Amino acid sequence: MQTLQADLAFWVDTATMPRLVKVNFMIAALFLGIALLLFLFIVLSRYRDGVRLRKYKWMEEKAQAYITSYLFDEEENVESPEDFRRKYLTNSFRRQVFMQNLILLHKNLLGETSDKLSQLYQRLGLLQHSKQKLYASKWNTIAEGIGELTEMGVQQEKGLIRSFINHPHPILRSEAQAALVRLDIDAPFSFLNDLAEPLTDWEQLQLARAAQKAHLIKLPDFSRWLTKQEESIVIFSIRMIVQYAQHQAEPALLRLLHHPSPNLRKEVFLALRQLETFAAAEQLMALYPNETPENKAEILKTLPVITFEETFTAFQRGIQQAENEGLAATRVALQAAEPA
Amino acid sequence: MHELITEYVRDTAVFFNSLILYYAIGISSSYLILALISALAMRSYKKKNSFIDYRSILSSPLAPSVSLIAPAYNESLTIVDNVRSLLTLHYNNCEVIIVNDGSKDNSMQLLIEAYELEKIEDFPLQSRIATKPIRGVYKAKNPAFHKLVVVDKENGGKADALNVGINVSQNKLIACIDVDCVLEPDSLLKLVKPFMEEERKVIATGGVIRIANSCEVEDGRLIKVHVPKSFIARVQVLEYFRAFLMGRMAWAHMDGLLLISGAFGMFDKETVIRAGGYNHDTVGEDMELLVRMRRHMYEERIPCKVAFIPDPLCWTEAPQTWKVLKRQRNRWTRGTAETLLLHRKMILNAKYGFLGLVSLPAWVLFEWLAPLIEFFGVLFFLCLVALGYANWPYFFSFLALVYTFAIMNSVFAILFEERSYQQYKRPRHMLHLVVTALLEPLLYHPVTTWAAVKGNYDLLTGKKSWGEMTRAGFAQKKV
Repeated sequence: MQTLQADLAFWVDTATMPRLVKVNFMIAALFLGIALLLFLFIVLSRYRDGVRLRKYKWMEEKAQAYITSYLFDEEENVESPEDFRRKYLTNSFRRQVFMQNLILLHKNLLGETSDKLSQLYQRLGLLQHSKQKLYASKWNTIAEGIGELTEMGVQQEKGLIRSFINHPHPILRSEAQAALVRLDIDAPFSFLNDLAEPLTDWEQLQLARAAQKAHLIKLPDFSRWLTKQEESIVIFSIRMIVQYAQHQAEPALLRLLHHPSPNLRKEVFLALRQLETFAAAEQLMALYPNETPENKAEILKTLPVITFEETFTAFQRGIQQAENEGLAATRVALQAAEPA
Repeated sequence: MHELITEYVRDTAVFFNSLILYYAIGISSSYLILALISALAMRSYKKKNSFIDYRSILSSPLAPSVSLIAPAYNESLTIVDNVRSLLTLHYNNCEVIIVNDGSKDNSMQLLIEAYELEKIEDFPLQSRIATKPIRGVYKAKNPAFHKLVVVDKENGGKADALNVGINVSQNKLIACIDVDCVLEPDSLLKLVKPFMEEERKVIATGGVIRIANSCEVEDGRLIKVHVPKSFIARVQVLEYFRAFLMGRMAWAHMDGLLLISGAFGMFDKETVIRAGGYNHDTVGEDMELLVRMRRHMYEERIPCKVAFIPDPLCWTEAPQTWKVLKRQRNRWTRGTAETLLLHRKMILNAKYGFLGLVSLPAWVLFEWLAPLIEFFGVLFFLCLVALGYANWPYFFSFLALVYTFAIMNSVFAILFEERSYQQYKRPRHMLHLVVTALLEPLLYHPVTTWAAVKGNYDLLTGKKSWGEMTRAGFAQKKV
């Protein structure tokens, strides 16, 4: 009984508790407290998200109703954009929701309706709002601004956008490059001359997509960038030559067959195959013996497309014969090297 | 004499206690550090991702070509539906390779009938990795299934089937999956992106695997997400949050990721082949392959990266019974240990950079040895109790410490889920998970620790089997 009392006293009387035990219980209480706080944070953040979603939906409804009315109702029955702006676009959250809806609609419309939306964008002061973003310090805000100006077809800020094509952040860089393709109507790819960073595959894909979206009237001759030092720019130009079937670039492509980079040569083989450049057949057959295994495979895929069947069959036979002779020579050499 | 023994036991106890204490501090700190790094990485990823339109990959001729490889063994109940689901994934430039690994049921016949397959005699097969013989390669006569390639081969296990898929593949990237997993429609688009955006060569990408138990699945598509009804599966939801959202995200950010789940991962085919393909002699072939690929790249001095994306991409069915769970954890332990032993040369070797100096030692200490240390700690404590040397106040205070830390860690993991992709939308789902977090250390953790100890024992005794994974399947609407 006395022992039990002593034990109970130990747990109740913190003065007699060893220091380490006390510290342990304190840390355990701290962990439990943090867990409770985290749980509370989860509950509160759910509540906050709910409120935000309701606000978003409310503003979205207002935006859609106003845009529809602006586009299709008689002018005298529509609230003026200036009044709407004063009444509803009172903070950046609401402006952003309105902008998202406006841009979404603008993407899917053409002609007069699209022009009317651009007018609305200006009259509501949203153009200014987008322009201001270009001067922000955060990369994502700048990229957001570039995206908005591009979607709304605002060309005045091309110069400023061009200054971001070599930005250290890859997403901002990519957004700026794609924006120029769509906004710089006279020379959509001229920024390639000033690129200091390599173009990743992702950036190339974005540029190709931007070019598609822009329905470019003045397509540049991509062979002009085939002599660039930066390999990724050359590869991108080759891909664009194929995409836009620029057959006039074939002589320039043939010159690249002797480029020191195997990766780039592989891209040329692929391009010659897709362009069906018959003039390349002789050169490819001559290059075959000294190519990398991967590029050899690419040549073998290309030749049947750009040469006659009998020429290709003869070439294959020649390769087989050379390989057999090589194997036999190796065998003889190995046998000779073996100790007697 | 008695005093001498008492003193000896006391000294040993003090030494062992200190060791365990420092180890516990080390492991807990590592969890917290990983969680913080992961939080930063996740924030940056979400910010970047808000600018990404994955449809741009879908429609582009510049998107890389992908081969989806799914090994199948005795999957006749679900194989036709699963293949249909794979064929509807959003990706244009891709082929779906199903490798029938010598199934004893009628899987092959079902596939031939459902997809109008015909045997291709002159299929351009590259046998760059040695495998068991192939009986035939089949393609669909119906152009609607032109993406599908079915390979029938002799049974050789999952690793062998995947290697056959690699040999058959015609594309630059390969995505290896378990055929019974449910993939998100955009999963391939998301996994491909890291291969395109990095200046450094990306050799592999992995994503988050989620638990599909109790979720609604229709035609191989996930319709509605529910928290699993079974306690065992629910705990695994928490485990997966911790492992994927808090662990792997951080390791990938530090370029130290060692594991991409076998359920779904994408690899650069050429690197896989150069590293030798999947290893037949281990039960942890997914981890072993990645470690070998990274080792190969270090030894060849080619800078590379393994990427990880936090999006939920793949849903899998988790074990729902203690028996199956123990079997799975036993196998995972053996797989981890086998990989670490196979590549022991890399551990604490500066030649392998961060991988050798941090990742691998951390795996040895905190993944492989953790259950063993815990088990021997418990045994030691039981000895002290038997000898009458147990210090109960210390015991309870440490127990409280460990228990509350485990709860805090799990609630932190739930927060990660909430702030990232919030798949469990209903408030009661979250409450269920919190309650599960309270019970996990008491009911679930001892079982998995025991399974891991048993796994180590089996490794010592040379057990090599996979252990059967019984699954309920996704055939009905609700799993």
